[in-house]
Amino acid sequence: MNTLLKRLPRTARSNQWLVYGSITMVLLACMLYVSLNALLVDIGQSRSRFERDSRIESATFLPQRPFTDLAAFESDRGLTIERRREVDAAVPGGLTLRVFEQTEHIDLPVVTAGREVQADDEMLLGQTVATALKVPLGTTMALLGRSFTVVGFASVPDYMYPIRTTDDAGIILDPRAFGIAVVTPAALDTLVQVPLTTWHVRAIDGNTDKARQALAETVGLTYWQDIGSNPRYTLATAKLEGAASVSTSMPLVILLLTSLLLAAAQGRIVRMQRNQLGTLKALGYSTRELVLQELFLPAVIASSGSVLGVLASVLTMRPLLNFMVSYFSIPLYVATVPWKTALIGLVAPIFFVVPAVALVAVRLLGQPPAKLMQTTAISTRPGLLERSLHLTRGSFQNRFAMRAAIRGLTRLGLLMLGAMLAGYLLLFGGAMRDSMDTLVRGAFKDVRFNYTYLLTAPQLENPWGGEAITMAPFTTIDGKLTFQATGLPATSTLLVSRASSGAAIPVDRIIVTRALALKLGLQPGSTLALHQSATGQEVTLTVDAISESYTTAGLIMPQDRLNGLLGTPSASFNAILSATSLAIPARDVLMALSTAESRAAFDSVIAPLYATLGGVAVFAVFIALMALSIVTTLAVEEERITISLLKVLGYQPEELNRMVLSSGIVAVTAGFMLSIPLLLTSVARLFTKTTSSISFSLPIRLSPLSIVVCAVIMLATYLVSLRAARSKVQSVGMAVSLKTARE
Amino acid sequence: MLIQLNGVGRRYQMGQGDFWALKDVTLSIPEGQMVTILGPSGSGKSTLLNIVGGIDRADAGTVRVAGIDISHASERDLTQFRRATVGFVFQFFNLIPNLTVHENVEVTADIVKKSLPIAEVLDAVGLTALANRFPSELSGGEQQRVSLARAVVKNPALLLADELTGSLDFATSRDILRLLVQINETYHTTVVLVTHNAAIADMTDRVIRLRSGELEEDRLVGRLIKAEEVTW
Ligand SMILES: Nc1ncnc2c1ncn2[C@@H]1O[C@H](COP(=O)(O)OP(=O)(O)O)[C@@H](O)[C@H]1O
Ligand SMILES: [Mg+2]
Repeated sequence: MNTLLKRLPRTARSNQWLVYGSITMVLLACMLYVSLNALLVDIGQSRSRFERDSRIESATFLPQRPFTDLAAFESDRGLTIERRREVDAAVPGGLTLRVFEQTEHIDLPVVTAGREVQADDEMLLGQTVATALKVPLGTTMALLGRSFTVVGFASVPDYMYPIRTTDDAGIILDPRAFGIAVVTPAALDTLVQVPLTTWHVRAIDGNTDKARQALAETVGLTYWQDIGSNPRYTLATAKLEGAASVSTSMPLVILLLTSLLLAAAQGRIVRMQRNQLGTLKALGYSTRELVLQELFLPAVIASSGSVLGVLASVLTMRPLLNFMVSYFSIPLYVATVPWKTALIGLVAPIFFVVPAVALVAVRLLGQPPAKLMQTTAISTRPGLLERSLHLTRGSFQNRFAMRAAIRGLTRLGLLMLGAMLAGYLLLFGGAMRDSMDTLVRGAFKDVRFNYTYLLTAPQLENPWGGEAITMAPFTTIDGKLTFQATGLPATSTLLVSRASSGAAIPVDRIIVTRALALKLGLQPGSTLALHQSATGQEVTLTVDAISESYTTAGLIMPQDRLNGLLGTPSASFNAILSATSLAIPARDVLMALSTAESRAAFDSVIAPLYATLGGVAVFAVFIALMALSIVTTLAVEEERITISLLKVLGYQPEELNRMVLSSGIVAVTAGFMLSIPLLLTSVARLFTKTTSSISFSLPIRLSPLSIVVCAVIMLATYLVSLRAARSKVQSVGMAVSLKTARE
Repeated sequence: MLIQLNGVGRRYQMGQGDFWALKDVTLSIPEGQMVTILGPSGSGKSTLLNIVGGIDRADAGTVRVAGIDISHASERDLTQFRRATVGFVFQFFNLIPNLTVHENVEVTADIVKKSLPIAEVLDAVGLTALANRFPSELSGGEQQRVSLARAVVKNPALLLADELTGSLDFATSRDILRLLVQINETYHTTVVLVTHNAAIADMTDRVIRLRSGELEEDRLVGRLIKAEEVTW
């Protein structure tokens, strides 16, 4: 038994490409799986601990009347209530900080580095800003003319996803342009005369509805927002849920495909040794001894790959988490690889590879040794398919290539599997890119205004210019979703709605955006029952058309109709859209929004996203290269004797390459094609799951351009792997066929 | 009797019909006998040898070797039989390519209780100088000798050799034959040789001749010549 073991390192050495390639492939797949899952678990655990430690609010509200006896009300209703004041401060360099006062009971800032504020000239800086702008502790910052020393970095739970505005364009986080800061209440007093004040409530029993009723009865509510409908919270959770589905499904698919590929490749290596195994069995080795032998190399490959993979993810956990939390402001309480995930990563490859190889070996060794010793790796007698095709016509080389392809059908299947794995990964990157692209372009392409002014009251005359429109919020009957209805004049040019065909939809229709249609399951012709948010009055509308806007859940209709619903004069307006900035007196403006800012934010975020996707693509190419190389190398190994013999007979290397390797391109193409529907269905499921709770939808797009680019990358990868296989064809010695006639 | 074959047949599937490579072979070989199987190419010599050695199964009849009915033995017993009783020299050598000469011999020595010293066996077949070479670095004849050493090192009760001298030069063949006789005499090993060289038959106790899978002739010859006298 000991002597036989000496074979293994030598086999490994003479098949280095195969061994190291397999180990690397397992390593990458394990690392991807373990890292993404660990990331998810760590962030999930950190988030729930953050919510607990920071005593996250149940809701934000504005009372109509002041509380008479707040303490009594709180203890009576089982609520904690706290007021929080804030002010926005522009910091040189394009950054705006939303400065909060330090709270005591609800939405406590959790310090992630440094310490809490003690003096009135100290401040906490938001974690995302500190990371993005690399602000060191101890920096002095000027806020509204007063200087503060940054004594710590912090996260605030209702700004877990710290965005400036919660409108449609605000969903993209730009930590270089906006962030939070915390100062003492006394310091806030000195910063601003009339700060913006919000009230926050935390229901001790978690019953938010009861809290709202209690507040509505006691002080009346002018504003109410559950934490569950606060985008600064839900966008973080939605992204995490999205990450969750990605983390659990995509890498698992990859880990499984990789294990399967490895198992299949190793199984074929066992089959290639049938002659040797037959000999050893004839010499008196038992099937059990030989099977154990054959398991050794696959087990070493699988386990060293997975051990290295898990190790790599343990080592990269910190930087990865730090990268992730630069997109959410969540303190990292947990930064470890959970043992369960690590265990799955460690065990999965072995779990698949060992039984698969054992099965192949046991079945092979079930045959009498004489039979094993007689035939070479692949049956040299023509099979049924081969005979039925009557391969007698055409040149010998073509016939040989055809025969090699038919005999190696399972090998081609394997190649297809490899191509599918690689294609899936590549296209995943492509689909993400295209989908984000559609989202972003959809959000801005047909938006021809840069400024939106909401007016304090409806007007009839417009001396300021721009396009006068009407806007009003509506709520679904179940109260779950509130969105803006926009009334456009018949002459509107600044906001264009487009059908999926790309054609502009005339403004005399009732149009819902795709984002809204997807959420409410609307089709053209559907009826839509709504409450007018301000008055509660119920209205019913019939949907005429759906516009391809994925970012905003919204409703667009003729201005006079909207005015009719609102009960305002049919020619009145309460908002102005404009391409340029307008000089409207401040007392008439409720709110001014600039789309240009949002656009800049989008751009600054899209760049790193593309970089990330580029990273995924590199990863994909590497796995693809490994997968394809393993299979092409196998092809050469299996045809070794034939190749050697044909060399003796005087065949040129190019002819041999063509004969042995040419059939693979079909399998690679087929595998790539199959990965397209596989990807589209799995990504579609992922996107729907991710965005079901938030106000925008992600379109699933895979453009022909992306498919072509992925196909080209794939083909290039395959050609590179062929190059490696070619040098193997070249290295097959002629003596192989002559000396060891049947070896 | 060490070997007892009774009505043994071996059938191969050939396209639509069957084809019997071995038909109704009945014979017995006593312990210590040195037997030659002769016959033209394709007559079933290897098939017979494989069945006796327990590496192929008969489709008809019974095969008893060393007291075991190997035609009906369990996989486990059959492995034990191959391991303990048989030394096989294969027609196509079948060396393990990534083990050295020494290791190829060691591989079988490892699995038996009382093996002969490897160095002695290598010396006897004249391979001492090549002990650390790999099979791909040997000539055909040298590989054949490794194959023989691998069978002999087990000191088996039954030594089977298929076309042993087929690819050896004259001098080497004679050395090998002399070695076989020596083993047979020293250890009382039963030796069955497959060859198509009738001259070799004359140095053994008995000749069995096959034709188209059937027993054509079975006669005792009684070692007419010594190994040195075999000619080609
Ligand atoms: N696996 C097989 N399938 C079909 N026919 C076989 C197989 N092995 C051997 N044969 C046939 O059986 C016959 C006997 O073969 P074999 O015993 O090897 O002959 P010998 O050793 O005498 O040259 C031959 O006709 C051969 O073609
Ligand atoms: Mg033969």
